[in-house]
Amino acid sequence: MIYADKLKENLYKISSPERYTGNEWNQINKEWFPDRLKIGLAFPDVYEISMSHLGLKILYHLLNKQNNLLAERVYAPWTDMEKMMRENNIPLFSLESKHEIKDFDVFGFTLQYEMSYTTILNMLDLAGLPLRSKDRGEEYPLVIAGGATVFNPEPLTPFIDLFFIGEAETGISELMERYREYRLHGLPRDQILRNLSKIPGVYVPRFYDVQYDEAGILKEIKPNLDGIKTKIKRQVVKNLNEAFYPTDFLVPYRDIVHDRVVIEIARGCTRSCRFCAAGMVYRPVRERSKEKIIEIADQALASTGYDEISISSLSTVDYTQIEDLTSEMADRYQADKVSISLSSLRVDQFSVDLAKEVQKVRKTGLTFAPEAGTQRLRDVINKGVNEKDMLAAARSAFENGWSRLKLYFMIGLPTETEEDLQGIVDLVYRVLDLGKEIRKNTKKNMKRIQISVGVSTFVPKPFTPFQWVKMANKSEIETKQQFLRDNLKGRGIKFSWNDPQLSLLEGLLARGDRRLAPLLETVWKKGSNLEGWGEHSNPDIWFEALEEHNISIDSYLRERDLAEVLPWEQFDVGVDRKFLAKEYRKSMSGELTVDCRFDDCTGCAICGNFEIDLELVGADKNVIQD
Amino acid sequence: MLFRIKFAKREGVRYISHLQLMNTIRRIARRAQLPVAFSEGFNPHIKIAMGPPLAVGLVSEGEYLDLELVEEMEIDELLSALNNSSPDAICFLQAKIIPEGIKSLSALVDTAVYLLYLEFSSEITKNKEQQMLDEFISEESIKIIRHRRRKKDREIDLKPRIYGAELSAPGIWRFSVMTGSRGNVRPEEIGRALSDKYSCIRELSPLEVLREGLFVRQDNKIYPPYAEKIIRG
Repeated sequence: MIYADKLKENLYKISSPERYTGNEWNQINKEWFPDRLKIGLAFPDVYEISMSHLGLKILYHLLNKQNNLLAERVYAPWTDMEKMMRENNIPLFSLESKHEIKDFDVFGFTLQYEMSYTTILNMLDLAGLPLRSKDRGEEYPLVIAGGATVFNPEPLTPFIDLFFIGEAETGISELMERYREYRLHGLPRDQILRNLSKIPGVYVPRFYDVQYDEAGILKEIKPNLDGIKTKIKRQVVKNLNEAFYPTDFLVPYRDIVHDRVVIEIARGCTRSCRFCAAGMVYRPVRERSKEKIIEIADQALASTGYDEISISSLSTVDYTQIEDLTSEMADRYQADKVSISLSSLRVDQFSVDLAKEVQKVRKTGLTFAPEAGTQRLRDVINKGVNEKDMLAAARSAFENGWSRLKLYFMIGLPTETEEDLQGIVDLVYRVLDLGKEIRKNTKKNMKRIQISVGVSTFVPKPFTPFQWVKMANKSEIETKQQFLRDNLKGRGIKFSWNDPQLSLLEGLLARGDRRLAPLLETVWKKGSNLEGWGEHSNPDIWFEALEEHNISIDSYLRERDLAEVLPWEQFDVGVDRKFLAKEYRKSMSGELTVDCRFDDCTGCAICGNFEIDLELVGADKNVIQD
Repeated sequence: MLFRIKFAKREGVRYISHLQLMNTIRRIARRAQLPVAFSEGFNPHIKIAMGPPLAVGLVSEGEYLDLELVEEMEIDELLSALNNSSPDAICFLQAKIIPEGIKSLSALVDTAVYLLYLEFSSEITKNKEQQMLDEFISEESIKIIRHRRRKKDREIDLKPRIYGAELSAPGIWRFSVMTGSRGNVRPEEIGRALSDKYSCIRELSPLEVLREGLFVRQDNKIYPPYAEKIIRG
């Protein structure tokens, strides 16, 4: 059913109705032909967050490019909207046609952060769908998911029919086309899922059984049917230039978090920061050519009318032709007053020079992430930054007129001691003092120096060298935060931190298994929803539910044995388990690992495993070594 | 070259705010590849100036904006360029070239005309409706409580701020009211005053209001803000 009229009658009563009206410039309105497969593309957060997500933008345009497919956006309503919807029997609907979800053939979620899982359950419920896959009959849309946290989807497995592991450009359209054909032929759901599970990258959790020993330790994950693959291989785009990239981005009316043209200039990162999941699961590095980037930028600016363009990747400054690219873009768009921003700056002077170069039009903030306070600990996590670089970067920033810097650190890293925390404090003061001194001696008019220090709690993530380590417990985190609160005081310093309980829950879900699904359901029933929003975050109900389900959070946050079967063992992301274990060992002795873009192969094995090469636009490819 | 442009804000963009509308129009101007003028300074913006803000949740058939171009352009060409780059719900209707240095829209515009689509709890004849309207408008004072964001409520008298009213069609009442910096009337307030006085008039929702236009009052007559009389002084 279409709910446009009913929405119209009620929208004026709620806050920010423009979140729910759609109709933005570049919206795609496809006809609901019977033979077309209708896909609801869902993001488990509200409009301004959801609309900022690059992956979903790519999917939206990629799927709609296919004549046989139709994709519309579905976002989570804010709480007042949800209340209004429930009171007026309005189910979850799509922004384009205002069809309810039950009218769609596929309901697909993007998984971005663990704490949004209960929002997914809430959206299923608001759509009028039974939460569990086994309770949904043929009449319901197929519920699928993919995205950043899909590399351990286990806590969500009972709720989702099918996961796609990897980069969607590689095969999501084909997957949808196959599903469409099976539906047209009237195949039953279970048979369809069995057929689809043969497609590379597709994981249908119902066809896998998980075994635990008496102590509750995971023993085995294996297919429960013949012909089901034992390992699901992450799907990877081989050549970014040939991969689909949209230029006709939606242009929202209201502010969204990233309100600009975003161009992904490269995918993957091989800096091997040992805490970073993205740096492991998106390998190898593939760069888009400079010409292609500028072609995309030209088209996207013309199509959207945006006055800002962000070039983005996991480590933007590492793009091998970054200087050429940025200076060419700055020259090209200066007359039109289009500003250029860089995401993910490295901590060094080069990055600052680059930022200065591109920000001729408008100056945005500068953020650096040294991550740890001492060289010893930075070596443990393989963050290739030293204090000299850091201070040079800060000096350059202050001398070029920036008076506010953001510094990001983590606490709870493996082997961390109080000395490392003191290192954070010392570094912050050194940067602050440097800024003050430069401000005192400059003739320029400079605002008061302010250093924002963001300190998050380290959460061990699957497919990282730290996937085996113990996560800090509540009192440890609190002690560390208290130390920083006591020592990072005074004018010019703004210190912020995360709720320790939320970090612990993130740690629970990140390395969780299927036994956490009932917990998610209970927590959702207790009201958990939109927990990414401070005002809705409610860790207490999680801990209540953990007790009710008799689940010990420590059994999930504990150190894992290197030989242990991990809940995500059925996935092959390309990087060898042996490489991760080696990195873990090296970390304990503070041994560094190089970046294969600029140095020797480090043996992560992705290139050989996936028959794929590093794609660097500005350098000769490295020879792959075994 | 300065243009004063009349445009409509329709259903699809009902809920966007004044600021969002300005942003949207800047993006439309960019997509239309107009030779726009930019503001000076650290954070250059396309020079656009708009009239008195339309409340969030209302639609209008008569909003205005001033847009500066650095090159000459035919009016028809300008309007079609804008409309080709604009969502359907924003429609550029007419434009006039205005002299530099003319008073801004926000300084000029002092009158807004609204249509209120009233619903009655019982059947009412046209004559009765006319009678009710006349009676309402000849009151000595029309007191209502104004709710203000982050400020205390206060009682105001709508009467001196209502310039006139007429029955446009059965169930459709047209009000010409004060707007701008000297004081304004919100259509929702007229709605409340009407329901207060007549129990048969149902509470007015923003869906039942249309801003027909914005005008400049001179010698007890109203003119569109780009009328010859206004732009030539």
